[in-house]
Amino acid sequence: MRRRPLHAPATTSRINVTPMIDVVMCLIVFFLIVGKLAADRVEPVPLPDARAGQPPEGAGELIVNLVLEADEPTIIVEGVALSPDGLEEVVRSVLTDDPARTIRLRADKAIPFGRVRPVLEACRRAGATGVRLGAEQA
Amino acid sequence: MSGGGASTGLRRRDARHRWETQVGPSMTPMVDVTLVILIFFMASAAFIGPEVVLATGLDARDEAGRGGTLTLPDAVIEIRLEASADGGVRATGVGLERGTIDELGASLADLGAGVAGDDPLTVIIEAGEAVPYGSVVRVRDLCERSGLTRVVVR
Repeated sequence: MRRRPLHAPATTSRINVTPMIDVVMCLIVFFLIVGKLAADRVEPVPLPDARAGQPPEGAGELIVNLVLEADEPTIIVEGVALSPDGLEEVVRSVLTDDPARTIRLRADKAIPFGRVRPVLEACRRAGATGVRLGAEQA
Repeated sequence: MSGGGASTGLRRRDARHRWETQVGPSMTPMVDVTLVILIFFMASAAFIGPEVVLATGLDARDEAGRGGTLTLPDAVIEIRLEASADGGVRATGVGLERGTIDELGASLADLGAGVAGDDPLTVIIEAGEAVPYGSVVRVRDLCERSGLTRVVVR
């Protein structure tokens, strides 16, 4: 048997898994965040401020975004731009499937209420008795 | 007890081994994971953190003012919001005549304190075409803070 030298160079046979854990964790975090955004279909909207209110329900809500695009209010639901009539169809379909489902309106605070009213009217015509007004907690 | 220093991770120095300086578990993976979790919660908070919702009823009347299927109760307070020439918003109702929203807040607080414990009132917010949506939500918020949680917007 060959004798080992007194000061043999240190050799590491184990794989260093720390960088792999780092990369995997970053990927998990990335996909969690992207998945959350995709599930909510949340548009970047400057919401009104509110000091009261309840936390949103999350996945169970139908989120209706009303954003200003080129100074024109646009209804966006799940990434798709809709007319008020289109919104009415979507809401009616959703409420037919699940009458208890709630609607959250996330509208730009600068939009005149006259341009928000058609959205509320469309929800009402579709059978909704109420909406949840999305706001940013002040 | 053999192998003195085993509890600290130190090993006896002899001709073949140098002192091992690491004591206890390696902190690097734990710090890595902790930082990633911290970043995750910070990013999540930025997306979902401060948003709240205010449950609001829809008026049963249609655009032409015809009645719907929902019958409003008798105890109803109406607030009318109008855009003023100076760019502000004026409120009429709850004892006010074209008052500011701050004044409306004070009136609603008095009203809410007066009806506490009674059957809840229904507040109807009727906003003009030019009133910014943010002002409507602000009035809805004032109602909520005053304990008036049954609110209809039209």
